Amino acid sequence: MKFIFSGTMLRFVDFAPEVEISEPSLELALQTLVSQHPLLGSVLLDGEGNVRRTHQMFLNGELMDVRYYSDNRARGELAMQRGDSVYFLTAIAGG
Amino acid sequence: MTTTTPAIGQLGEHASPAEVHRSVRAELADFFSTWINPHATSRDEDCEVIPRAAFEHAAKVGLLNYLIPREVGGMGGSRRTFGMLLEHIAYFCDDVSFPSMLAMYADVPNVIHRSGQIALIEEYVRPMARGQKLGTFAYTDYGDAFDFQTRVERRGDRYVLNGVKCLQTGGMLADVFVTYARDENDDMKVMLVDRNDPGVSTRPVKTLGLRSAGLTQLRLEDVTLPEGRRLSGSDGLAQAQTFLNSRRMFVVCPFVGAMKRLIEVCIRHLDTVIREGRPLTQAQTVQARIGNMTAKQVTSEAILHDALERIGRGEINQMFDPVISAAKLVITENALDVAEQAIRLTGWRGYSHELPFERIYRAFMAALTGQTAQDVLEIQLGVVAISELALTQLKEKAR
Repeated sequence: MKFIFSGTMLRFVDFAPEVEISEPSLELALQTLVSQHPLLGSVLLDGEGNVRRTHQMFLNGELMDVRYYSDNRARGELAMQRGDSVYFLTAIAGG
Repeated sequence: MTTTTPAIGQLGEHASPAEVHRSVRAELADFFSTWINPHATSRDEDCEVIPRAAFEHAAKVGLLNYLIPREVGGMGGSRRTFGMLLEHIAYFCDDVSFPSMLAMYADVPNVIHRSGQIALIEEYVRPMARGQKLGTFAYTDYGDAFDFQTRVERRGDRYVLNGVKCLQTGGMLADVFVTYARDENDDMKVMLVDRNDPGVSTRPVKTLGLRSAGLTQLRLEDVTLPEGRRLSGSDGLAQAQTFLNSRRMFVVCPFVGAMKRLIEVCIRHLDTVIREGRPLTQAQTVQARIGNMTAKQVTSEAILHDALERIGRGEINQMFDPVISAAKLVITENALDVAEQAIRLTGWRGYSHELPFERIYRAFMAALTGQTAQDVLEIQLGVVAISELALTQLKEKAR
């Protein structure tokens, strides 16, 4: 599967718009992703290891259910297959 | 046929623009013309903050507390109708700072209320509903959202804040600041800082426009707070983005009413200027420019109302809504253009304090950088548009 990044997130993955990962679940894929790109860790995940809601997650183009942000078990049960894509749409606004 | 005029606090989620206009006229027009408008120019010249009593009055008529839930002393009004209130207030109120501050003071209590902390609700939200306390939002920092310089550190059962936040709308009158800081794990935390907490200080910040809006810099030096002052979980950034996304619209609501008023003032003035034996309003070049200004005001009103209706129907993306963002972007540019055209039409008078156009122009300029700088909004709108197309292609590929 691959992760696809947009906007301000690119600077945390060395400006690589796509990162290929080979893991059986979303949770493991995320862990591998942040281990490969340490700067991304605290930006993408909160202190409890959950995905920050600021980054909208799309699986194969479909917006993912809220439970995949806040429930690591749900992410662990979500199988990732070859050809799957998880797109992070990040638009951070100012005050 | 008789038309009824509901009290401001009674305006419902489907109130028409005409109803909102009548209510503001009935309950606030005299107040503005007596207490706010006569001093708008001198306040701007002296950088004097709008008096606190104005907001106490706003609470009495159900305006300051319009968005606060009924169970804690508010009117439980909708954001859609509150946006329209801001629009029509700016038509009657010559000082754009007032609706700008009002939008902030009316919204912040809900951030505290949503924390669900009873002690904070009793200490801050209820007094805010009565206009006895005011709160503002201290988000903007000297770094971007992933690199905030303001830090919060856990020490035992306390939090210690250090840093400088700038700018805060209405900070000069604020009793409390909803403050965003980065913790040792780079999580963003939201802390409630009271003006009276040891180590807290503010100073006024001089700006191009909105000089009576009490803009401040907030300095935090070893400000020690109990756990009970924490408003967010571990994802303060999402909380901030949700608040900012929703609030972005409120920044430009007043601009639409102010533009309408500005065009009327401009026409009245041009009617008194005689050139070649006739008023300037009879010159076709002037008529064309007035027509252009009107088109921008009417278009802004349509964009605003469409966005507000979407907010009313809950059809917005909580994190970053392209419609709200595009509305803020376009209305700001339209407002600046309308004010500039008024100055072009009225020559040296428009450029001077003799007419209000230069002051209003400077007030509109606040939105060039405030509530997300225009250029940043354009980037984000572009990112979203490009992403949406990419997502459509991914969806098709997966089928």
